[in-house]
Amino acid sequence: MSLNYPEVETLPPEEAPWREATRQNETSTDKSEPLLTAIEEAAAREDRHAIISLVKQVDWRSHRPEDLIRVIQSCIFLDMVLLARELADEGKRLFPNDKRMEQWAIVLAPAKVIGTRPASGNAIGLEASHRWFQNNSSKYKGQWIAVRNGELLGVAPTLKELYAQIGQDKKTPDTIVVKALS
Amino acid sequence: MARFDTILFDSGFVTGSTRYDDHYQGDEKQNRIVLTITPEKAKHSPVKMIVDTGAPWCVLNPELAEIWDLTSAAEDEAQITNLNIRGEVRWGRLKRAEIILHAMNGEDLTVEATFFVPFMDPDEVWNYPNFLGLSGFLDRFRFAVDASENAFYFWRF
Repeated sequence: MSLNYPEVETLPPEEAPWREATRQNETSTDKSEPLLTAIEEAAAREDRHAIISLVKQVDWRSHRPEDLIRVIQSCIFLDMVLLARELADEGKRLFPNDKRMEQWAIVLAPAKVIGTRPASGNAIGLEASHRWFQNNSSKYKGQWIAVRNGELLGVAPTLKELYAQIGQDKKTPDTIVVKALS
Repeated sequence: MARFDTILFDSGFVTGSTRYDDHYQGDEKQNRIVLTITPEKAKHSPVKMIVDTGAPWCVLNPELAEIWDLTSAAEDEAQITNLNIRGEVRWGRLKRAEIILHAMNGEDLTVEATFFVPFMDPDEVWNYPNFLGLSGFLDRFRFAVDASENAFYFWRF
């Protein structure tokens, strides 16, 4: 199991790109909103309890989507994914015509199981490829590798070059493509 | 067939099982649970991804994201966010994509998941693994691991 797992970074610095993007649409009324200011200050302190408490006090109907999006982003930066999800759902409900709000609600929604079907993989071929990777991938560090049914199909420094090398006919569900870390 | 397939399938605990690699390719010193995943719509080849319950999202190599058509700039900039990946803060965009968790026995599982697609500097080379994250993927189905034979069992909610 990974010990060096990725985690959401804390609040970004003032120069973070999203801040600039959202500021372009700000008005003076946003900056005078005490609750939003308090949330931003709590985010800067990484005070998650304060954010949860403050967010509950905000009547988002009196705000614009930009305000809500800014808070959603702060929540994500602080690894508060569930709160960000709740806010995105609320935003989608309150601002049904706002495309950005809709997109945030989509990407923050829980994963969705679309369906199941009988195993379609070639178990014997996948097992052979599994063994190939275990025994050989260390020889190709930093390279993209294509393996099918336990046989090496190609090696290239970029994915596009790899696909050009192996050809369309070998881009099958049995062909596993991996970049070996360098 | 994994050793506990029959008992776990018959009990209804899981509906599929597969084999996982115990290290990511090129990173033989670290033990991992590495699954084989295929994008549903792009019809591209399967790739390897590390199961990582500490990751909020799935993380995808930007070259793969481009091939999977997840790097289009047509959508709004608002989905930009950042992740700390192995101590390095990376900016990127959250995207939604359908992927298939292949079963070697039982049933494949198709899931719509959220991916973090990192932004790349020109000429930058991405040297991180792909990850399967918790909030964007793993928290929507049951899974179990038998490390004695690298078996990964799963079941849809």
